[in-house]
Amino acid sequence: MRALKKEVVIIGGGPAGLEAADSLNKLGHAVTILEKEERPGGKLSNWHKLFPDNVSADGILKQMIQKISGDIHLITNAKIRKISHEGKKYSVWFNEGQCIQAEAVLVAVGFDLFNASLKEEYGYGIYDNVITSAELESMFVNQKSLVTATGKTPGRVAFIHCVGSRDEKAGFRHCSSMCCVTGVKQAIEIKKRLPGTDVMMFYMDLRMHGRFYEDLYLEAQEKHHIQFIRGRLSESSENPDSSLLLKADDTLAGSPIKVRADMMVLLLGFVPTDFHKKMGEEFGVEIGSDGFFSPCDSHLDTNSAKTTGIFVAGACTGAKSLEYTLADARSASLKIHEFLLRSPSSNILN
Amino acid sequence: MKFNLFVLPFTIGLVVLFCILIAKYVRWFLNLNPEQRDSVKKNFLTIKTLSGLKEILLESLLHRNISKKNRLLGYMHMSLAFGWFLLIIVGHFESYSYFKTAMEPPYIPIFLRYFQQDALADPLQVVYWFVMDFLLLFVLSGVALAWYKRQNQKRFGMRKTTRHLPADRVALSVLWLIFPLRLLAESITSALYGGGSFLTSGLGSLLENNIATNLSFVASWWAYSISLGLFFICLPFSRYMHIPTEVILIMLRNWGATKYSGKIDGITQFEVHSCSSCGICLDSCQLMELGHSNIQSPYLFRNFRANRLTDQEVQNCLMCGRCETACVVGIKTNSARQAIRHNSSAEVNHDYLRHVDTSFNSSPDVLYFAGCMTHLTPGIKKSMQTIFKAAKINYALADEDRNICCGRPMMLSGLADQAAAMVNKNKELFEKSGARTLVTSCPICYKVFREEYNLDIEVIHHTQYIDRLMKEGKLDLVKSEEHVAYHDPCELGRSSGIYDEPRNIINSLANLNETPANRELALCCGGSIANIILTSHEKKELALSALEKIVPQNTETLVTACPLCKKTFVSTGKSLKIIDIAELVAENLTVGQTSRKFGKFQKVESASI
Amino acid sequence: MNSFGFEIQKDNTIEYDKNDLSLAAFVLKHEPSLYNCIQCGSCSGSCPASAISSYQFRKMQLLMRRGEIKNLREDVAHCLLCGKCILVCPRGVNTRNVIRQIRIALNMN
Repeated sequence: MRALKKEVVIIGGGPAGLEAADSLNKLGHAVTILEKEERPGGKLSNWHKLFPDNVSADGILKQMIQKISGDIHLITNAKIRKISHEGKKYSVWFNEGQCIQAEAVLVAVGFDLFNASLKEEYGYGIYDNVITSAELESMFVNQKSLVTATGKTPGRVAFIHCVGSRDEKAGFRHCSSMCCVTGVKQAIEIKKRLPGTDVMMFYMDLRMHGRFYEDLYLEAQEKHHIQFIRGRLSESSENPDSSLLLKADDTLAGSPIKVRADMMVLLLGFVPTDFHKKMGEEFGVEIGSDGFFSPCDSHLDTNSAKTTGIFVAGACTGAKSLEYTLADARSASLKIHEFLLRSPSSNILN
Repeated sequence: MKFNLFVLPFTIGLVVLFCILIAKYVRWFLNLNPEQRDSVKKNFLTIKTLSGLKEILLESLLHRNISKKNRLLGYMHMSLAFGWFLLIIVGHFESYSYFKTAMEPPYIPIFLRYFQQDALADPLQVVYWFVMDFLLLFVLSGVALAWYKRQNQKRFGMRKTTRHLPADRVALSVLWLIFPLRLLAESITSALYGGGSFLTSGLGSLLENNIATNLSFVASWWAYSISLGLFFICLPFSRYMHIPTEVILIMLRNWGATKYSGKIDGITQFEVHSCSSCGICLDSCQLMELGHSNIQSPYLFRNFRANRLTDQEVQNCLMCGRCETACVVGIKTNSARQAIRHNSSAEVNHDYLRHVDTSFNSSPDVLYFAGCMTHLTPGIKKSMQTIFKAAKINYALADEDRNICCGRPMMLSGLADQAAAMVNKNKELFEKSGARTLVTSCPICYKVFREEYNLDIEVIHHTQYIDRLMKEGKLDLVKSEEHVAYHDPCELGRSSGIYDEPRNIINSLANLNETPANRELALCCGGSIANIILTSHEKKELALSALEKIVPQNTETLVTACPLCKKTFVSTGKSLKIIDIAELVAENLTVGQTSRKFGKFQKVESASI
Repeated sequence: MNSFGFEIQKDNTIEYDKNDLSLAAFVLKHEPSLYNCIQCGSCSGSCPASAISSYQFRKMQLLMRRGEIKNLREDVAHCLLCGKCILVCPRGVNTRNVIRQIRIALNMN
């Protein structure tokens, strides 16, 4: 096989970064992954089971991490300081003066979850029984039992959709597209653990667009009798017993609705990271109106940034499921490979 | 009898002016409401009249307030007003010294140089000539500056100056002509007949050869008289109506008759006609930043006077009160606007409020009214509850599940009468509670409870209440090293005068970094409910721009004391901790006083887009 | 004529083509942000008037846009103008001005 050996730096050791590292390695390139945390895996490492088929997230992640070998170098606790380039060589500076040189840089920094305390009327950080979808998932991962702040099994749990998504007042107009199915998956999980607990979903539109997602919706209704109320939560208040009073418009019934709930789970939207802004301002990588990276062509080339030699993959170009994130990472690897092949300074090995 | 036909334009103008002024002022006086009229009667023969006269001297003539804004601008106004005033007064003395009678027709002192051309044996005449020439020069310097200002307002400390209506422009042009024409007439007279001092005689000798003829002599006096007459006739229909009206407004204010009724009454007329459209307030208006540059108070008042109001001037206003602070005449722009918005015939139906249960199942000492906006910022409500508990106060929530609006938003929209159902229901609620103190977190509610509800119980904003609890030693607090800035909400600061209590609180809990835009000069957050026109994008733009200006360097936290300000600032997505003062207090309570470290406030880290 | 003691029931259908859409057109022209509504109900869920009366901003404006304006006058008269709806609207609809424009259109101001 005719191969060329080039250095590629991947910023971000989440699913996209790991998958791209594996692909690029198989294409014959040397890869260095710079991960800001102590361990690779990104948000997947805090995930219990994957929708729509309840596959263990941990199992998937283990398989991905096993592939880090040979010419893949993983550097953890790496804080990116600067990216510079001279000719075709990119220098990625991190921590205190450390630097790696490469001929291509893949940005796979993923996303942040919306800061729920910005949506103050929902009471996150103020009322004890308001938690986020990430906190709930983490409870599942750590096998913690789901109890209210006073240690009781909740009689009713309400899921709130679109927290930080489709909300101009929260600063984010886009649909995060993954929260609907996440909420339904988590609601089912609660019902499986606590069959006696009443679970209801406050949604605006259920966007169950992936394959078999609708089946999950049906399962929630058919098997678990989860209630779906079409109305965005307007505000919540705390009852003297620290349970919550939810106020919304039950739009299909055409009347305002007040519901008492023992716990409230906020399904947080996907928002851009601080790194997005930094890349945009300091390295000229184009940012869309939603704050995520904009590739050079929204259809034909979704992985090349407009800045030559910089590539993007995964949820850092907008919310994606794991399935699409991995596919996107493989697609990016191919784009990088083509780029390195075209590069005139190619040092072709036989 | 000393008379010439050319005095007619001036005399007719003067008579017409007085007739119109008297007609208007009588009507407005009759339109004063009984309370305002009583104040006039009560204070007419007191020292307040003297202090009013002093203020007229300082403001209408010397323009002290304008001088404080900008010296040059102050000089310009003073030279025109005080200079002209002195020309008239000294002219009368001069006339008296020549003709020994005070009963001359009014045109004699004005056209004195025409009627007294010959030099007299009286040595005082030379002095008079000098003084009058000097005063004319003084006024002319003002005219020159005024003309220069039209082109270069920035030199006068103003970024923007008002755009005028045609009637105002005619009046302005005529006004600028009066004094050059007087100079011309007196100089030609001096050239032909001698007399005058350094200015008129100096210019006269230049004109002697070809310009100063019998024809130009007569023509110049006619021109001067016509310019005066025209100006007098234009005056009541132009912005120059402010000249006589401001004098009356100052007196009314000193007599304590300017309390607003909320409707268009005599006071509104006096206030609105006292606006000279000088434009000094324009730079203070934040809506200028959005390109809304024809809706500010001077335009509102001008179009009100001209009876050509549009929706934009009336409604597109934050009613932040910054123009009121900037106004050198002291016009109550907010009250006047609210009166102009007043609409007693608007149709509402709030009968359903009758069914709201106002009973209490406890008898609290303190009633806490969170307010509509605070229900959307539960961090404030929860902090207040924590504070009440820490101070061991017997309190109750007034509007937890019977949340009735205080009525102020409706009043600000001009529907003050229609807010009565809300006012009555809330009053019933407060009375039934038996509480002695009503605490509210919303400055909008606070203002209306205090000013419109006529409550028997004490109304207090939570900043005042917390300050009191701290002074009474009821709160056990620790001081942090945090650097915070404080934003004065419009309704609490400028509108209610509460500046010190929040600062007392902050100074004992953190390090306060004062911002230049503080106290009376505080900016509006942009979220004002008084403006029904602005789009959400425009409000956000205002909020972002305000944050730029009010948050000093090295400040981690912005503290405010209004739920609406907080909500508006937070929704900009700016990465800054923005909290209410109640939250700052609850955060700094010692562990002994609160069961947990209250509030996991997170620094806003999401990227703003 | 004989009375049978019952009347023909008015059917529930919105006769869109027969309804008067001019009022909606007026309001949308003067406050185009109403076009952005996604019927989430944040406004009416937080509304103090909706909690204690038949008034519902979301439903009212939706019916208006379908030409169902029979109860509009009565509905809009219930609003307290408090402005909570503006703060919670995720699409930035200027709800208070929608109310005002309806009131202007119906000569209620």
